[in-house]
Amino acid sequence: MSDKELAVKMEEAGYQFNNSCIYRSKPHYIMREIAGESILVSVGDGVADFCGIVKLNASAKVIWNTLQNGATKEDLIQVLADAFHIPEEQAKSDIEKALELLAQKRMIVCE
Amino acid sequence: MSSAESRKPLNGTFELTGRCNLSCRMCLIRVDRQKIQCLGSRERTAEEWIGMAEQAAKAGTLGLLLTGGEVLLRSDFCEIYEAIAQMGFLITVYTNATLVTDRVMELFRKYPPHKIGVTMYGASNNTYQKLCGCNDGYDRFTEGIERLSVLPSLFEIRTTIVKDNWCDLRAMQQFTKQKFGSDKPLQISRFVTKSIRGGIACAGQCRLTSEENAAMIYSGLAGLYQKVKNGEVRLPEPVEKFSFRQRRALPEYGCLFQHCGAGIDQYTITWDGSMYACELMPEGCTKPFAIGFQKAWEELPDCYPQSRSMKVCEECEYEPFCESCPAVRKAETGDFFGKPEYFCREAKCVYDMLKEMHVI
Repeated sequence: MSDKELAVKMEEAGYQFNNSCIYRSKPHYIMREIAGESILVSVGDGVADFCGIVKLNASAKVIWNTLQNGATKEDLIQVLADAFHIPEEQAKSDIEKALELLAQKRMIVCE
Repeated sequence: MSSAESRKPLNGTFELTGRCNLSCRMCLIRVDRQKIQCLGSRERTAEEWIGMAEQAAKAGTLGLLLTGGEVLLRSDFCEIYEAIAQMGFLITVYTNATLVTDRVMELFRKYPPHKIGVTMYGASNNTYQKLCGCNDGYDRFTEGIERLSVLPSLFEIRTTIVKDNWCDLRAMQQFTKQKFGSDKPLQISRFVTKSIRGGIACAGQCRLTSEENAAMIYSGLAGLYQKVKNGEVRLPEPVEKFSFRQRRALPEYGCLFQHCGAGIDQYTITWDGSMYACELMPEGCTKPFAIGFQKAWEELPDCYPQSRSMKVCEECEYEPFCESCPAVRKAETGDFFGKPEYFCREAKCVYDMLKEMHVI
């Protein structure tokens, strides 16, 4: 997905997009380790959007942890590529899909 | 969790108080200040509950039910809730909805519980007066429900049916259907046991008879049975009758609660600060506020018999229809392995109906 296409998707989800956008996870999701699984639990305003839990796989956990401190798309691609020793092109595709989904679910903000 | 060896405290219940603004005759656990004093006990402070929640979160509890008594009766409920709501639990709150204040609503709008279970006791003020000693209870309940309904939380309307409110059952079901749709029917407690843990109500005296309870819980079956008996319906001869073998024989030793998850992946901490395998358990507890959550959880199985053998029921032909459990047996008979006659009679009712219709 090109940056332009991603921008359209993000805007459709209610976000303003630019290349230096810092993505950040909303504080309404708390990451817990339960019975050996990483999960996100919605709290506060998050309950209105999603009344339940999200189970994270290993890559989702890395992405979410990075988003908690705020990161650009490029930062996220680099973190994912480094963590799983995958080509940047693959990481780019995965991050774009993840950002689109997280934006649709209103789980991130874009600054 | 499938075995005692892999016990994990995934689901917890915090019974924040044993007190209630309603005086329901069938309540299992309600206590008042006088009774608390008599028992030589005390409710735990807000600070203690918040600290216990932190320990439970660390130990891996995900689902947390806050219940009573009536939780909203505690003047410090908002303090407790606001802290616990930010810890990452899936929170359920049980309430009778008669004490929903502006302050509670402000807090619930900020931190909505994932689920709210509202208990309904009747469909009129008269019934609330008769059963709960509260002459405007129904009005307050409906007002509370209206306020809570704006929240994004999942809702469950629950009730316990006893002699005093049985006549309101249909109206209560209608209310729930109109308010929340037919996909969220009124949840009826399966049974009422005798009062436990110092409860001051007379649960054992006001409950339905075994026969009435069976007719209510299995209303579809009971209705069909009456029609068959009156000759209004003739059932076709079954091609093959159901046969019920005795439940798989359990090993003599092992965890008492192997089948229900109590003490395996769930626990209850009662208003006085005791940890039980489940909230219906009358005896057998550890003291998490004294020894810490983790140790209390680890030591919990030692509080119960290490046998699972229900010898007294082994030959009973009604056993496949019996809904008793170790907690119920203990509450009804004083013995984890006792024979709970109330439940025996109920199982017999179901058996007889099926037998007379030649289904078994």
